[in-house]
Amino acid sequence: MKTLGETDVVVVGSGAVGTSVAYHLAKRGKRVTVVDRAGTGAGTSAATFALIWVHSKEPAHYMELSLRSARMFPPLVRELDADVHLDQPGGLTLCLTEDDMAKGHAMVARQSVSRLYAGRVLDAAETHRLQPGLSPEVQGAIYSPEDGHIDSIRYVTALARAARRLGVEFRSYTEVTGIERKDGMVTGVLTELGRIAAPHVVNAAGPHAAAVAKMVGIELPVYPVRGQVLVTLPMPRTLRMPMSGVRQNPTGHFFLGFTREDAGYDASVTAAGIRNIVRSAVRRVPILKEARLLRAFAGIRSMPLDGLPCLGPVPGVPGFYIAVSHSGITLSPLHGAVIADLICTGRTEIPIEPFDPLRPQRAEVVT
Amino acid sequence: MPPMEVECLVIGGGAAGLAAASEAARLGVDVMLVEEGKIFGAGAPGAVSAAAQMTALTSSLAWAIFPDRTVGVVTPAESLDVIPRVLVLATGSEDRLLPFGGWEHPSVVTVQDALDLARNTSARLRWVVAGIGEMGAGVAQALRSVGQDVVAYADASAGASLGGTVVTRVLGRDRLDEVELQARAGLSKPIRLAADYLCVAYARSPRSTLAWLSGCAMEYGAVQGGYVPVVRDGVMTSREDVLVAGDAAGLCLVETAAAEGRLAGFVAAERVGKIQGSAGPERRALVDAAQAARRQGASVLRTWTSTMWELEEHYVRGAMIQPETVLCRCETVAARQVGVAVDDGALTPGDVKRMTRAGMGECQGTHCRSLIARAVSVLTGQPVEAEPPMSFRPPVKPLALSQLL
Repeated sequence: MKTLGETDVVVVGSGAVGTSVAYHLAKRGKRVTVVDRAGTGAGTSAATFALIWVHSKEPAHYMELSLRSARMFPPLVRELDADVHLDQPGGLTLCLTEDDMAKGHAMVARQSVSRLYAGRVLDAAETHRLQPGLSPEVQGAIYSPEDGHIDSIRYVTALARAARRLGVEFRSYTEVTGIERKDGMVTGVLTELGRIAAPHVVNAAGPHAAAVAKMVGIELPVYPVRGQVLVTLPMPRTLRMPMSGVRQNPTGHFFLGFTREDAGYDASVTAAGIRNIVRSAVRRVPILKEARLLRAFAGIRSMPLDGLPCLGPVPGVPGFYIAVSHSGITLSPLHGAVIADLICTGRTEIPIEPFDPLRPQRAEVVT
Repeated sequence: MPPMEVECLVIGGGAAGLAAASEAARLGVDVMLVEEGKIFGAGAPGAVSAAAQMTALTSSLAWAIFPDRTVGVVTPAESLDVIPRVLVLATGSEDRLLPFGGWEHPSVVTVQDALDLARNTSARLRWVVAGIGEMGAGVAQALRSVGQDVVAYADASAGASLGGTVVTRVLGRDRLDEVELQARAGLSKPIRLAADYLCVAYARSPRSTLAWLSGCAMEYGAVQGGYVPVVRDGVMTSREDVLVAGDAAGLCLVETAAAEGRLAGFVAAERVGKIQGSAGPERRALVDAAQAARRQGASVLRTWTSTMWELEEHYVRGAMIQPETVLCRCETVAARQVGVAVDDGALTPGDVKRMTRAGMGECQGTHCRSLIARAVSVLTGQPVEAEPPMSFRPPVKPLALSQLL
């Protein structure tokens, strides 16, 4: 097979996670090639709800990991020197019923085992004062001061551009067909166009991560999950902060979502999915009735069986690393930093043991 | 509301759609005809009126087709999920603008917008009409016939005087002041004409969003005016349950649209079992008539479309030299930004869309889709027909969320 080149690290996947990994590695002097079957940021990253979301990530050590990553956004975005519409004004999960309120209190109680947890339950008066314009049906909310949102497409574009300026090579529209090993050690990546020699390979393939892991004989229980999202034409700014299911970009566009469906890799939208999203959003924010639907799309997200990230080296396959989670946007800065730590120094300060890619996973109800 | 089942749904009430719906209804098919405009046959005077034996809806938009074959239709009264046994796409074509300097000015309008405006104003406005050959002259005549002051018709066709005259740019801030015209060969000095509006009749493309969403195999055809479904036997697409007729199958004359519509109506009747006995000879005659009509119109259209593509390339190349020229007017994306995206690794129109937001605005890419594809082609050297097009997302046009509750 033709050899395309030789590098320090090949990253498989050029979404938010893959480009962040590449950027962090390049900043630390590594030569990196990113390979993707499609365009940069064309997969899940272009079709996500793009929350930077902390408060509902359970259990608490997952919340802490998300919080650590959320706090990495401001310095990272300053480095990227691009307007990616980063906004971290806090976030809300609205409660429409007494039952929602009870569940909210219970979750806050569970999460509060971490002293880093800043989420709390707001009553109806506080919620409506904090965010005018909500439906009178809203009984209260879980409020978290560190949550936010970003324009995921601008963000990935900015990461990729910064990475490219640091010398990262992007090979888009190139399918990875295998991972080459010698005496168990990773020696390169095989693509449909030829071989790229490298002692380190990072699997950041999102919903396709299981197929990439299989190339080194690993069963990674990560599955595709479909999420439909709606975007409206710009409206006057009314939402002060993102909420689960409704957010407003600084441009005025509302993002409404999202569904969670088992549809394999079929990224179609459905009539029922769109209607459910519209009803749910209008029920929470009545003024949305006046909004005009601009676009409906679906993204295929990666979902580990137990809902928790798979992050770290793979025991028994020296040189192979996995960085896959359901919250690719939220965790992308941290995934990038951790993988760069591991490849450059062999260790990381960040506690990633609970997220060992080969841990036994069992199905969980994911929040 | 539960989905509504119909034997045949015809989308588009122009010459093709009306003929399809009338023919199918005549043969006993349960037909629903959906037209976005206020009246049927607006673009096809003389077309047959909608027959009484069908559900005929105006001011109604088929806004999406879903993979389970459900078609989303919003009417003034309600939002319907329609499941047809046979779908006829007669969605027609749409005007689009080309990117000369200042084309994003609100007083630079398409033919459709110009005619709407002229019919709804009491003012006598000064117009410059820019177009190609007799079709453009027809637009100028139509504006004059409703009392408008057409200052000049600039004919871009090579056969016109000076080898064709084209718009180079428009000038004006709040309102349009002047339109600058120059011989296409660029040898003469530009002239400037004072006008209130510039009507651009340079380009049309088949409306193909619903065909993409329905999963038809598509192909790029220069003569057809852009992407159209792969068609065999006049109106058949790669999908057994989807037929296409008229401009949606490739730009054509009104006679072709009507002939293809009749054929589509007949085939729809066959598909739902309304034709008894051997229908071969009758269908063959309709196929022959439709194909003959398309062949007859082709020579006129070939000249017109080839000029359209020449003009598109002329303006897109011009925009690369004047890189502040806008290519996507909804999102105000300049040619320079497209160049930067390609320098940053964009290889396809879809990459450019993500990296610049071109094509993400209110017009759903009507105007810029082809321009961005052309710009990428110019910058990468890849032919337009080899590029994967920007994705097509529902809705076909923006619609109020209240219509989807």
